[in-house]
Amino acid sequence: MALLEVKELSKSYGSIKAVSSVNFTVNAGEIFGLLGPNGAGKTTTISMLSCLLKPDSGDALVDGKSIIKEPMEVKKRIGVVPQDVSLYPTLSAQENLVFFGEMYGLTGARLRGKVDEVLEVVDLKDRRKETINKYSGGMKRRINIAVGLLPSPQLLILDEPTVGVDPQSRTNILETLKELNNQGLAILYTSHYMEEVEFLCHRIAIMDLGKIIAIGDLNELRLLVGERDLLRISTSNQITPVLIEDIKKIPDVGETRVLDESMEILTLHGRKLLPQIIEKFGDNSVKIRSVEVKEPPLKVSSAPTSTFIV
Amino acid sequence: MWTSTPFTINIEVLNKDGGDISKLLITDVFGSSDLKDMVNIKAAISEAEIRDDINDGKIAAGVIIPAGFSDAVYNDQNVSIVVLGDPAQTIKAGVIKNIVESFTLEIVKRQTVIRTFMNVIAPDSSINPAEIQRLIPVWLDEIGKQNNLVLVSAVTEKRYTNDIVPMDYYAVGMAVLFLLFATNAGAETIFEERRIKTFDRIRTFPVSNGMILGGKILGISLIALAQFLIIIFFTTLVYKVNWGDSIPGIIVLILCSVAAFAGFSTLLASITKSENQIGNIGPALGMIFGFLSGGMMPVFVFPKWLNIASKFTPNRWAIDGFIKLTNEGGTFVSVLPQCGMLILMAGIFFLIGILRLKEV
Repeated sequence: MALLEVKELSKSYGSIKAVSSVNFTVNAGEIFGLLGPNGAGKTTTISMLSCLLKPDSGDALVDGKSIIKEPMEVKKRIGVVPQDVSLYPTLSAQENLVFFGEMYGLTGARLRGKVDEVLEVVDLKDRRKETINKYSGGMKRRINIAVGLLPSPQLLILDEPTVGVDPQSRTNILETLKELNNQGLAILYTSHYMEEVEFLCHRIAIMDLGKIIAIGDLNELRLLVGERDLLRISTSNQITPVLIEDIKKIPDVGETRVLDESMEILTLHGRKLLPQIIEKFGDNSVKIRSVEVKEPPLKVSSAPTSTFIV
Repeated sequence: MWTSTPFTINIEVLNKDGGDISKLLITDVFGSSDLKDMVNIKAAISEAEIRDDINDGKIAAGVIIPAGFSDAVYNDQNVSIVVLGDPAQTIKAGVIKNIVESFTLEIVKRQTVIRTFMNVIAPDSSINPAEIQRLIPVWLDEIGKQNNLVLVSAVTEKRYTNDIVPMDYYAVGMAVLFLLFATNAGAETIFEERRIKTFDRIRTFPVSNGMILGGKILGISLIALAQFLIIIFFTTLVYKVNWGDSIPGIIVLILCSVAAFAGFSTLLASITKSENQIGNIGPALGMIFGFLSGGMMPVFVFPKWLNIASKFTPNRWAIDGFIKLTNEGGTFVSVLPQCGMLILMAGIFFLIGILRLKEV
């Protein structure tokens, strides 16, 4: 049974549809990545799953508990690590953890034990007495994660926890999360860094403009994207507008891009279409120097290259 | 500027006695040919009415004759007539005070003479009636020189000193103002929590929004309460300010005031957009409320419209309550109207504030 089941979740801000009928599941012991550029709707989705925002429609169940009907029960089962460092800057790491631990209902020896445990996990036990405003960005992020671990959650939800963190700290954080998952913790992880989700996640959903546009494990996604080929054809003479129009008329040809004396063509089943495409070049008297067939990158960012994603 | 308006004194009399001696004061003294054109008497139905009319400047003084006054005089028991005066009309109030004191002095003197005659002279019949007639004025004159006999007027004098000791008034005004500042500072932390995102983080914890806000308000209230208690302690110790004898009254009034100011600060937090805004608007409003409510100067010097306007501020009700306790010998029960108003204001402020905070 899925630990988290998201069903047709939607949220709009005025006329802007931030999240539109999103569906996915996260299984126990799984790390699930929500990948997408800024503004894709990841944080809105996370906010709804954390019971901070009420969805306009749809629902999500955490361990069978509805985020709409039983938000308190849901909150008991999740730990949330927000995108921003949400700590009291003038308190020490330990004081922050004690305060938040008490808010989770921990007291006495149980609280002290849990604070020690999470400090150990994020490897900041030695610097527990320092105030947060003296910490580096990476250390703050680690304490931010430690707070999310205080309630011993079944599901840890992290919203881009490595934003603005140096590479070494990022690696530490990712290693820590991997280790927590090895101990059985299910994780929902959002990011716009492909390499992070590639490293961490068992399954990934790619979000853009409020919708999930692809979902699967890393291999499935590669395969999905891999069904499309990127043909790069270099020529000896100028590519004419007529040739471009002819190429676009071929069924299953997607985006085209002309770069000086070469042309990139995104196609479905590019290898099969290659003879037909080469023929069009001949018809237009454009001499081919070389042909490359590539898999397009599985890359998500705000840059225009995201148009290569299915 | 100059006027020929005759000097008249408006007073109210609450006669709970109805006996011979109280009637004597009202009809034969205040109603005497010497005074009837100068003193306008109106019968009051309660002490509260007298206090309200003094506060509103309608009368210069109020005379309260307690139940059983005449009998107490006849039976030689200690008894007091209470004179409440408007500190803004000290001359007129002083005249009434002197009249009442003269009256009570006269009663005591005559009582003493009659007692002496009945107990000492009459049984012996050693002095003839003509001699007695000659001696009575002499005795009265002699008795009049002995202040320690005048129990009634001594009590009256004490009760009259309703003029507020400036330091007492200032201490109350400042303490109430600090209460408002303390709760405003607390409300600023709501914005701080939003800025550093800890508010949103806590909202993901298994606690309701009501508990979060309730905890916040409780924290603000406790800090305000602690500040108020420090002010009471300090002013009592250093300036010998009299905070009254009613500890329950003080505690309940502080709690009600804290509730009203915490509500006001919640409302303020809901209509402002940042720590900076509330940091600027809060103290400014605090000062306006301070002036308006009589925190800086007594409300009896205000014109009527300002006096009415001040009743829309929680400060006014808090100050009125504390003044009752500190200067009028008020008790827990006597400050219940002020407490009621403060709780009502707290309810309205919280309701609007929380509804607005939920929207944002």
